[in-house]
Formats: sequence, structure tokens, C-alpha cells
Amino acid sequence: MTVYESALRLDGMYHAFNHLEEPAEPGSEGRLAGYYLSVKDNLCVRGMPATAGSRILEGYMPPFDATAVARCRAEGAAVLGKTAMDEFGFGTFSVNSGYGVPLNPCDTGRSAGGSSGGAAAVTASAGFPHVALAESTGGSISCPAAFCGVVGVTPTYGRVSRWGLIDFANSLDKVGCMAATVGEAALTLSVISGPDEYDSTAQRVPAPDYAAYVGGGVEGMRVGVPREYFGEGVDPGVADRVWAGIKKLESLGAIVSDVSLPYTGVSLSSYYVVAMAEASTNLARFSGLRYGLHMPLEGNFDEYFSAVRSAGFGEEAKRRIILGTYARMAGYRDAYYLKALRVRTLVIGNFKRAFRDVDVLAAPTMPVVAPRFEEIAGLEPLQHYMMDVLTVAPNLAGVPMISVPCGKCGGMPVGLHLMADHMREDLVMRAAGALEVA
Amino acid sequence: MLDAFSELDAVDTSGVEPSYHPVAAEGVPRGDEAKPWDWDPFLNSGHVEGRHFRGPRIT
Repeated sequence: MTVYESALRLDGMYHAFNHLEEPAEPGSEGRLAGYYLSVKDNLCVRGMPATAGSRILEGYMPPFDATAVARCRAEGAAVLGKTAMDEFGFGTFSVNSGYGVPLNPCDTGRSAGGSSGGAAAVTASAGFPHVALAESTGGSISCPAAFCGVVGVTPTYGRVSRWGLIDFANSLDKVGCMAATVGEAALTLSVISGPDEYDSTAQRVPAPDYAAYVGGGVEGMRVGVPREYFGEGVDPGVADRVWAGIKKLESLGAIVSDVSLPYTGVSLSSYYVVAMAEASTNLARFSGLRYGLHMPLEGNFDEYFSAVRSAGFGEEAKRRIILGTYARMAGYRDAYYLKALRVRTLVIGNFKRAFRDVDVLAAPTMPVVAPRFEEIAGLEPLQHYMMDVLTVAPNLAGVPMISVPCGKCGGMPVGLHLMADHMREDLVMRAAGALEVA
Repeated sequence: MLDAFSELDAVDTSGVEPSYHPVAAEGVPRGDEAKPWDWDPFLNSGHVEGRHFRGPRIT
């Protein structure tokens, strides 16, 4: 069976792709020689449709590669297709999509997580050399990685260029990756990291060889366990598996201590105000004129754009446009949006203080294992948002994080989340590498 | 969302500056230089007239 046939087969089982095509042969030289690359559908690949999971972008064909894609291609990877996701990244379970909903390869009655659910489903089931490009705003790499039992890396904000990413929230979006092993994730991160003249928020720091840190061990590494991440709502079975992982690190020479991140609770409110406000401005550009969904030019300016946007956006996108616009309205901007940005400063300060005393933080990635679709259908929007409670704080602070499998609970994978200070991806790679081989 | 606003209101942020980015953006733009352009900006539009986009009437 060819790789394309194999990918078609797994797509038939797990609905992981929004677009799939027969790939070229991967290169025989370069750091990703021999690898096939799947790309989340909010990253542009020249000549492949890009929808970001939304009907409003139906038919859009990017004329260029995102920087992360171009760098992977230059190192030998062959692009296989575009992976399924929540519309623009608006979700935790990949069910808010204008296209297919990816299924969890560990149990197809359960969610693959979101918003990069397709990327995780492919990574968990690919029987060929494969790495995935994904993107996180509030936990969209860590969550699906944990639910599907794969490795997911979200780098420091600005570590990887966002050029070619269809933005959700510009001050929160990070391009990262998923892989079956920590070593492959580290390798991919090394390839995509580094300065980029096309993204002024990309840090001007050369990319280290992260793979070199994976076998570095944790002897003497200081591991902090934030007590707020084991509170109400965390499944005891999940907490047990994560504690077992932390004990493994301790047995390998890490020094484990208790830490506190007191602004964890309020970070969810700050995150959603910032994310929705920024999303509502980003989505203003989709007007059915220059690209994406088109309709006959009937009615006046307002009528045409209203018709296109009503037809093209899903319910969650409309909800976020309305709420985000409200938070930015004249008279409310200082009270809501700027207030949320001030709270973000406090959340960042929490992490910075913690990283004076510890090298990495260890916690559950998600409070529960992947839920069944009928459970998700019964959740209110606010309950959806609450699922992100453990991932939004580090995403709001823009610190690097990795979700690494640490066993199973009720037959479903559990993810252990490792976080470090800005630009210290090397530390999370060392800790994750030690866990993987222990 | 209103609950989120109330929760944020309860946090004392006096003297705290807003973080527009989590990491200080260096904000160095690329040089203002013309570069070769190898794609058609009208390629993705269904509303093109000559070398212009055609839009809905304003009034």
C-alpha cells in the first residue's frame, strides 16, 4: 500500500483531512528527509485549498507557502494534505467545523480534541514517517495531543513565524507541531523555528538543535507542580497518571516541589476576552469579495456582506464575532479588552516568578480524557470553554509547552504537560525525552 | 462573557501595564523594497472586472 492509499484509508476511518492529495516523494536529503507532512488547514500551502475549517473560505487557493511549511519542504518533507480543525480554531473538540469532524483513533466514539484534532488523529494513526504542523491559540496543540496519545509542542510566542497562518488571535497564535515521538517533534521544531522577515513578531533568535536536548536527562532539574492544576474538575484517574509521570521524573533525578500560580483561575476570563476581541477584528476581512465564498452581487454593500457572512460563518464564529465586538466597543474597550490585557501581565508575572525557582512546570494537559461525542453535545458554550482551563494560562503567557503521553485512564490516553520559561524549549524537550524512555 | 467581565473587574490591576504581546515584539519590519511578484491577486476572486475587483453597490 502506498502512503497515499494508507492516508486515504485512515481518512476514511477518522475523517482527519479536509484535503488530501497524492504527495510527491519526500526528499532524500535534509533534516526531514523521508517524512510526510500534514498541515493544519489554517496554514497556507501553495496550490492546496485553505479553509481554516470555515465555509467562508471555500475555494480559497493560497498562492504561497506559510514559512513553516516552506522550511519543512526545504528540509525534505513532502506535503500530504490539510488536516481537519474547528472553524478558525474556535473549539476544544473539532466539532465546530464547516467540514468533517475528526474521530479519535483510540475510540472513534470520542473526540480527537481541538482545535488541531485532524493533526492529532493523523499523527496517532499514520503507519508511515510523518510529522504534523499545527497551531495553538489557547491549547489547540496540547489538547488533541493529549486526547490522542501523541506528542504536541507549542513553542514560545514568536519562536516560529506566523507568516501564512490564517490568524485567530494575533497576540496568542503559535505555530507548532505534533509527532509520534519527542525526538521527531524536537526535530520538526528546530526546522520551523527562527527569525523571519515576513513576521515582525518572530523573535530574532536563531533556532537551536532541539533534538540534541531530548536525551539530556533530568538529573538536578527542578520540576514545579502547580497546585491549582490539580483542583476541582480534574478527573482523579487523570491526576493519578500525571503524578505517576512526575514521580518518574523524580526517580530519574529531578527535584520536585510544590508551586502556586494564583492567577490561574482568572486567566480563563482574560484569555476569552482577548481571544474573542482579536478574533472579531481578524474575521472582518472575510467579505466574499477577494477570496473564499462568493455570492451573486445583489443588494447593497451591507446586504451583500451580511448575506455572505451569515452563510459562511458557523455558529461559534458568529458568537465570537458578537462577543469580541462588544468587548471592543467604544466606551468598553478600556473596561474589558485593556483590563484583560492587564490581567495577562499578572498571569505572565506568575509564570516568571515560578521560573525563578523551578526549571519546568508539570501538570495534567487536560482535566479529563477525550469525551464521547454525546457528552460534548450536552455541553453549554461556557462548559466548552471551561475544558481549556489548564491550557489557557500558559498560552496566554506565551511560554513553551509540550504534551507528552503518560499512560491511560479507562483505556484512553492521558497527557502530561511540561511548561518552561520563554525560549526555553530545550528544558521541556529534556524532561519530555526522559519521560518517554522511562 | 458578562461573568468573565465581572471576574476581571474583581482583579486589582492598578499600576499594571497591559501586555499587548506575551513576549516583547521586536517589531522590526522587513525592508521597504520592491520584490518580484509571481502570483495573481485576482486568482481567488469571483468578482473581477479587468484588473479591478467588482463590489456591491454602496447605496
